[in-house]
Amino acid sequence: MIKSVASWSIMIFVVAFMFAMLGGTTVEIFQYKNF
Amino acid sequence: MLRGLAALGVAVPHIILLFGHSVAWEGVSIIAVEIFFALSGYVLAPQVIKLHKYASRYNLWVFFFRRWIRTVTPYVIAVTLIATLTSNLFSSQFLTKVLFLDTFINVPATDFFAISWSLAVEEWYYVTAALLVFTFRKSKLSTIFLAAVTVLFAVKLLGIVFDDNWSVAVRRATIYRLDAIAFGFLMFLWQDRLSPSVAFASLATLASTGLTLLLLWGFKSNAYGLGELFMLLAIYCLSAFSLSVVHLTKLLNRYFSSPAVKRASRFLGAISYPVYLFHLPIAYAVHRLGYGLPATLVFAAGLIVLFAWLFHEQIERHFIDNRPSYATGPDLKAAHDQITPIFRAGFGIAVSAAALLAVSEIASQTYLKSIRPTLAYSLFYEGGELGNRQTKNLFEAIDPILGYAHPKELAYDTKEFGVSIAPGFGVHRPKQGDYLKVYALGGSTSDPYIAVKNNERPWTYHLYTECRKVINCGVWNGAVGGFGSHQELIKLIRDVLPERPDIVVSLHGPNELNRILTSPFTTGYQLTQATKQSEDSQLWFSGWFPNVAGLVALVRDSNERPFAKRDIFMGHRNTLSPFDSWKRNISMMQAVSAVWGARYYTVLQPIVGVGDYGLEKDVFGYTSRNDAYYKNVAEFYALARAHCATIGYCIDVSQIFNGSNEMLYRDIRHPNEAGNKLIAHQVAAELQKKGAFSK
Repeated sequence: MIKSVASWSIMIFVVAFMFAMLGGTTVEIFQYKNF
Repeated sequence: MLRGLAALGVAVPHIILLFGHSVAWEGVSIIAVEIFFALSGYVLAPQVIKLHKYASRYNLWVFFFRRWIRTVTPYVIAVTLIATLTSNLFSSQFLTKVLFLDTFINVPATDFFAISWSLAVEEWYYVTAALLVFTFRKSKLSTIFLAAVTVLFAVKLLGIVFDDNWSVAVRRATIYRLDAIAFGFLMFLWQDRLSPSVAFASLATLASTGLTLLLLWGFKSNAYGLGELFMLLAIYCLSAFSLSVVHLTKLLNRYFSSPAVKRASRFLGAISYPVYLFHLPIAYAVHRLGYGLPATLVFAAGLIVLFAWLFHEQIERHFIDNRPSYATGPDLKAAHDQITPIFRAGFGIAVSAAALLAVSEIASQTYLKSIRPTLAYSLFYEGGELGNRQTKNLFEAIDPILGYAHPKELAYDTKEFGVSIAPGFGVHRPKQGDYLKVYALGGSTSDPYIAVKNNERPWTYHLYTECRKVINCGVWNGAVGGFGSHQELIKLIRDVLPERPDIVVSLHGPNELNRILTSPFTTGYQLTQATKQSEDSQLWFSGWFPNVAGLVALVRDSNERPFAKRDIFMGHRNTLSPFDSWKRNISMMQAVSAVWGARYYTVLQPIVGVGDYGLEKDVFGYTSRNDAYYKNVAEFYALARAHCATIGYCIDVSQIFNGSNEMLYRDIRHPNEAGNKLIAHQVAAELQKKGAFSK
């Protein structure tokens, strides 16, 4: 239980971090690079 | 083990590539993806063989479900996340991407999820392989796959001839790459027959690497004009390389049998897919922190591995554990029972995710509104200087300079009221011939479409019939409800004079009073429109959850304003009275028209409250001319009429309803069609008197 809550918290934190760094703006770097 | 290493082999170069272009690192990630392909075919082979052996419709579906639950569900989660990050949610590319179609034949030039092409190859391989194996269940597996690989070779050859984009698409487009995985399957099938030694496999790996590089060089330099041939061979050589690597790893596996290595392999295998799916956004996010390459590499790789591991443990593992198994015996009912809870779980997850997002969105919006009141609120409701000015949103179309305009298309018929639609104008004109071009400007009294909406012809239609009695003429009516002389001046310069009119007539009246007192070039309507635009863009963010994104941006940077608190600039302020600014505007209109060889006339329209129209009191319940509105109107008209009498280009028709007991008004500012007919008649007579009706 504790393990699962901790895991989800970290995952949500990482997603929030992605949103904080990249969210909202149109991320051109994503748009134009082809891998 | 190899899968995990391959995933990291893609992710790490991608992090490094954020710091600048590097052919070598690009090569590493390309090779890693190729190994993925060979490995997929190899690892999935036992299931394909099972499907072939126990071919039934049920098992075909089990095969699909096993694949889709394992691969598509995490993929959809990743695509949705990245699409949300890049404001691509539910865009057309998002939808084609979810269906693995956007890289099917060609590779898009702009791509918000640049690695999805390889997952599309995988996905279409599953579908194609399963359907082939099921359809040709009587044939030998090797025959089926050799035939498929041959067909795909032919597709590549045809591509060279017919596909202009071939050299760009061939490495990534689905139809060109399905065979990369099929080779992995064939290797599994034939592994007992051809079991090369470690030495041979190492040699093959090295040789194919060298050969691939050589062929790619041949492609780049287009040696002997055979660039495409080199590329074609390089693609196959890459597959050969990947197969050698996969085989070599298998051979070397027995040397790494200690428990620690086995645990590490299991871990790497477990995180491989989420690493592949999520490494790009995490890498970009960490890159944005602005650290150097070593720190970014360590931090990003660590975060990617951590996130992938948690994702695997908390989400992916449940999908894998709950996959249905193949029915190899007669017990189909039990098999069906096994599938039902999977559907239910998937549905539950989707609904809860949607609900969670919806709740966050509403909560974010409420919070954002409470901390940042909107511009409209501070302009119109907080008791500022604007008070409760006209806050109507006039027309559907936005005019970036004039505030608002008529939309290009109208939902109603205007022809039966003598108006045909041209961009910016309602037109009355003869079908042919050389004719006098009359352009009209004005506000709602003249507006052709407002007249039509009231089932009337505009006054300009009657001007047209009057003027045709004298000379062949056409009338272009550019009036827009709410326009005052300052907007007409600009419309004259922008839209009318370039058309080389012979005559310009603008009809003026009460709109001269509807402006912000200290900003003569802004009416309440314009300000409303500007505010509306500001409201529409009150969030920087678009997509389905703009407020969640806005809240996150606010947390990230308190200077980032999720609400557009951009000021509205209404022009340099001055204290010109309505009359003074009207006087300035008409003199400028007259002057610029003259420069362009047009004759300009301003017309003062009749209005309730000025003059002595017979039905004024009875019809409109008009009680006191001492109201502030009527006082302002009377003041403006007194000054304007006096000025009008002193200039040659003014036509004063404000008094023509005097003494009439006929119904001539629609409301206190707008004459009805009978009134408009009188206005047109009088204006035409005055124009002729002034000698305007001549070429």
